[in-house]
Amino acid sequence: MRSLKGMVGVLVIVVLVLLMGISPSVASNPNELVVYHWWTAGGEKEAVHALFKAFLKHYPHAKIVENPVAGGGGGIMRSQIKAMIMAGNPPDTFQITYGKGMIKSFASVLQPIDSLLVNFDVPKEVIEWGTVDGHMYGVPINIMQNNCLWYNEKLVHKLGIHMPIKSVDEFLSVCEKIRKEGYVPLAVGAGMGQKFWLGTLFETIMLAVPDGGAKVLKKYYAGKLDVTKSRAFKEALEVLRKLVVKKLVNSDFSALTWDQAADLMASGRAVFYVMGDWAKGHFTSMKLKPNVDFGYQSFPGTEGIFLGHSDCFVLPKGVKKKLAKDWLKFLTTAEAETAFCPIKGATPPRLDAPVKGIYDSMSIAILKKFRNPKVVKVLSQFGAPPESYLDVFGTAFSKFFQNPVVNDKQLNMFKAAYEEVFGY
Amino acid sequence: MKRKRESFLFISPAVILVALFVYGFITWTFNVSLTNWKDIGIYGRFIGFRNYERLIFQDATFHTALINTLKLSVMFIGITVPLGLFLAVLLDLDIKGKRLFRLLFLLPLSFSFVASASMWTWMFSPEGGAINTILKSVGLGWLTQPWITSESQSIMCIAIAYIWQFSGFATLVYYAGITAVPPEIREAARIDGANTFQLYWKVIVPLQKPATLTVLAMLLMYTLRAFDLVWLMTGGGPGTSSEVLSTFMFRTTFNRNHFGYGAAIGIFMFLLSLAIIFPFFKKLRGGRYD
Amino acid sequence: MIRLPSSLPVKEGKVSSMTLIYVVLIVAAVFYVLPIYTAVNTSLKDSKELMWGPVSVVHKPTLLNYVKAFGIIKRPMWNSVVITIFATIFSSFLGAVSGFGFSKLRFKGSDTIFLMIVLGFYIAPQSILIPLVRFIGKMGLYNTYGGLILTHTAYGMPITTLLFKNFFETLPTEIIESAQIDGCSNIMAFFRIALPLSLPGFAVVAIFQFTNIWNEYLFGLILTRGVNSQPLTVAIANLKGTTVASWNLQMAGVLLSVLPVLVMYVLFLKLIVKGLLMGSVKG
Repeated sequence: MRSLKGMVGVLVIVVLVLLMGISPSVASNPNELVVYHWWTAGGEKEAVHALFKAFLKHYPHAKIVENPVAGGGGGIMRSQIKAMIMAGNPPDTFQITYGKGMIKSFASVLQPIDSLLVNFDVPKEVIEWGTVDGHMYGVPINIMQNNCLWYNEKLVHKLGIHMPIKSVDEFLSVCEKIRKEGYVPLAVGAGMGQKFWLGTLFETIMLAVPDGGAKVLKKYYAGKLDVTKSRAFKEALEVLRKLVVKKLVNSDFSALTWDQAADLMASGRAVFYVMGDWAKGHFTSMKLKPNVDFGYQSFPGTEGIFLGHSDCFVLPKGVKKKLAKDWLKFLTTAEAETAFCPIKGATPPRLDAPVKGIYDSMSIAILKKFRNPKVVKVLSQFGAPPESYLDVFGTAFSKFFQNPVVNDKQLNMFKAAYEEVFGY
Repeated sequence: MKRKRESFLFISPAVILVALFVYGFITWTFNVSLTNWKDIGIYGRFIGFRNYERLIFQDATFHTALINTLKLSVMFIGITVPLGLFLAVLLDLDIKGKRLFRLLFLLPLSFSFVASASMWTWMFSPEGGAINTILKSVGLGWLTQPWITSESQSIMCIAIAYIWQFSGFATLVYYAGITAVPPEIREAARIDGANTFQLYWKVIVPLQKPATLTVLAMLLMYTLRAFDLVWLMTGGGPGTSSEVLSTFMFRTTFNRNHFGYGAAIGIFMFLLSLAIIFPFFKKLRGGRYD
Repeated sequence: MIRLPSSLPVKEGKVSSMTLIYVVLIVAAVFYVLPIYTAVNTSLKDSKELMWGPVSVVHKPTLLNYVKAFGIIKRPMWNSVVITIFATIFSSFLGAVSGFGFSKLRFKGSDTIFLMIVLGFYIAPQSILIPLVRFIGKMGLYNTYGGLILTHTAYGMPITTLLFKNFFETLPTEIIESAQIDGCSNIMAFFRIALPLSLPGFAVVAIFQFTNIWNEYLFGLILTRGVNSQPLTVAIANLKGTTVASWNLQMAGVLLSVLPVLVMYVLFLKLIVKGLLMGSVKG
């Protein structure tokens, strides 16, 4: 009996030891590139895989260990990265949104990569967007426009609305007309924890209001605006207030995800929708045709402004692998951008990236806007302000939507939020 | 002496693992909570208990989160315990399909939080959601509510989702407890003239005290540190109306990068659990049950 | 001694109370099953139908999502099966050992130690995430099954110890003592007498642990890297996408992931019933 027990005990220990080693080890392999990103499904997955494939063509001995992590618009992946960095175990490279504020939140654990950006032919604003204390830390791989107004073509024709709409005031009065006809004028989705989409709506409107515009938004995201005194800020809040109080948005916006709100517009229950240009990919994945089923214009009053948003890859401190640097260098090429952007539905950052026959007409319209030197380019909330802006102001806007009054109490609430993000 | 050594041998796995994974790690967190560590890579300096001061006396969101956590706990436990007991009693009766019902009641446990959060958000959505749609279609449209989009109802919706997800455990534990009641006791009650209702109400249910303690211990764990469903269903919203302590802590630490302050919240949560569990478990000391 | 059935029939003739009971059970069953309708409904839709929302009934159901989802999650599902089974067995067994110790082999101060162990059950995972990652990394267990198994076993100790201590409390000490008179050591008493009698308790503990570990997300996310070692929960969270929204794929994955758990439940439930029948033979 005793020996039987002993045998069982030994067996258990053996199994245990075996198990420990059963999985892939984490030993740093110079031919392996450990990549973290949040493009986990559908078209976005295809795009990043195409990018990997293009990279591996140049480095056939290399292997990519990818770690896609969905959730929170990238927030979950960033949480995981932080935990790993603090545990002394950073990946070789990871994705974050490109921008001064976001990068600065990570800069102390990243290596500057200025030397890798030789001959990176992009608009100067793009470089300026991502420079922190004089250095570049990330390579932007795609450019997206955020100040887009999408609309249901069939409904617009049915209701006799003339597109494009030229100003915020016109937009509001059109919305009121739509509401009387029994449709939802503007679809909004900020539910299931993703309150920051309210910030996308806000920043787009802040560009459009009379005292607003690109300069003010830049100042706002640089932490230099006094929100209690800024006319632009108040005007933007006023517009949001009208949207809620006059029931110009769907009442269940705090329960819908961004895509479910997009579906309201796609299925003909709502007319308008404000979202970055990946919404285009969402619509086409449901077999909707651009300019037939859905239309696009820059948000009324922001024709000459490109509210940009970009994803980049960075190089964590402590990563010495040459392959990681090769990866980042590859991302600066037109070849990489052309492998990734068409499938992703985004604009390539490089001014010399080929266009003809590669992008559809709606993408080209957006791309042309980006490349037009007369169009003012300003960076959105996903890159310009510090990372905490997304969560702090997402909550603040959510509170405002529940109690849409523009008074001192609310303004002080925003001021406290602003100080939390930029101050102390 | 030999007895004590043997005792040590038996309890050592629990002691060693918990000492390291719980107390060892929480000490690290405590140390961090005494600093103003804000932003990765730039470790903070020692600031004593200032994080705690700010938390307890100045942070309105913290107060909201604390109240919400308690609200959630009361709703969740207040309903799940009687529900579990009730269903376990029903399962004990000789009914057809007992096996199927048993499995159905355990079914929600097999769903991961990602699933439950989505399913219940789709139930509680005021426009296209299942509950309001069903109410409208049977002519009860006047009963429709804003549910998860309302600041006053959001925490209740989350409580319902938790009840759905975990009441199976309560039912299971009570079921094991009830079926373990020796047949002699049932016989004796019958002989004394008890009908079925009295059998359960006066005899079997009161014997479930140990099961109740177990159920309470389990359920308290889920509510005091409730995170996944809250985070995925509402993210603490609308506004901060459904923010609970653990979402507040996660957000502070990982979304806002205030590692020191977040650590203080974590320690507070641990102490709160201690304060709630301690009197509760005093009952288990010297634990003989009557 | 004649064994009496442990459940007694409801008073015959009271048809209305029987019906009432069935009604209540069915209402409860509906409550438990209704939300699942939205998941099943969504899983059968193609991308185009998604735009009508999760509640509107699918017009052209397709099983394609299940096929696609399975292809993606089959390796993570296997990872979860291995990790969960081993962590459940270890934490349950070690819990039984510790619970026995705290219950039958008390000494001065053992109750206080017990309390401190139980308290460990209430620790929020986010608050120890970083030191945990550090430790697992230093042990060379990062991104291995062993790392997750060890983690889940450790954090399962408080509840398994508690449940088993409670369970052994209901076991009369006389049984142990009489065995000791017969020359049994405590260790043998545990393995030969206490453990077999604790099977129904073991089944409850196992179901609880299995569920918790199978559905756990945060540790699984942080301690693994890539599809070869990540658990199912992480893979399912990824099925929906970030700038895309493939709910149909995700719901198909979710429903697939429920199957192994249900299988476990059926097995464990049988174990509970068996154990209870065993336990009712006394004397």
